[in-house]
Amino acid sequence: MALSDTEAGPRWDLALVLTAPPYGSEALGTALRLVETALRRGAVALVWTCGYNTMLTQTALGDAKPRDPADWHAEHPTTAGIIAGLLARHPDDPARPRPLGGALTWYVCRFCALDRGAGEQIDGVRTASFSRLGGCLRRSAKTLYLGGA
Amino acid sequence: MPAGVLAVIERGYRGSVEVQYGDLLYVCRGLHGALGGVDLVLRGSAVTFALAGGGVPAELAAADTEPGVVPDPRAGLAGLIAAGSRVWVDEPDLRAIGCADAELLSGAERRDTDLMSELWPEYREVWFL
Repeated sequence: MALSDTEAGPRWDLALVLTAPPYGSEALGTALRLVETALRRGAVALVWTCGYNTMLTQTALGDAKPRDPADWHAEHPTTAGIIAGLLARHPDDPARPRPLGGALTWYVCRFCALDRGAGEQIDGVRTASFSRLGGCLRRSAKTLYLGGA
Repeated sequence: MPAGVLAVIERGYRGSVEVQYGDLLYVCRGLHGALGGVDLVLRGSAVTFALAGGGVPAELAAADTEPGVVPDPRAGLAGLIAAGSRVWVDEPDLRAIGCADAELLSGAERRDTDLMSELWPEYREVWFL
């Protein structure tokens, strides 16, 4: 797996751009299934989120969703908790030897996040200007776009 | 004696891991207790909520947690039926997806729900969810 886009090839094996809004379809579930599968197979993956997806990793969510009154003892992780777990299990450390399992970089579009009051993001998530997207995709061997306004 | 609310769901699968237990059918279960009962009309992609034998949704490996991270609409619907909700499933929409003869959850009824507006006067409220 390539670590840089200098001599060894693209920086990322896979870029997944997620703009389909959550709470409207199964796109987020599809994105996480695709990314987890790629990571498990050793890929170096990037996720770029825009729109309301930038709220999925805001710190205000915490690790656990509000309890279900009908099943009080069950615990339900937030999207922030789930993505934090993915990032912890697949750190994007260029010094890490390959292949030892995939590495994940999770980008949040700064404009979209600030526009929605989601400027505070969990550790490990990178906030970047939308102008960085093109460069990220050029440095990725393959791009998957899960779209929608 | 009809329930207080007739709820119509025309589009299913609105969210997965971000929704978890709190899907539309969970909302209906809450309304059922709070508003004197909810009867349900399933149309469009929501008719698949009522298909028996669909199994439980595949868990999300990314979550690395206990099961239950993705919604289970069939379980939610079965719970509503058990709580006393009547559930009608649109027969033309079942036919449109090749499920005209498919087995439905126990208690769910096939019907051409275009005709359901005739029942609206019997309900205090009609909600399109």
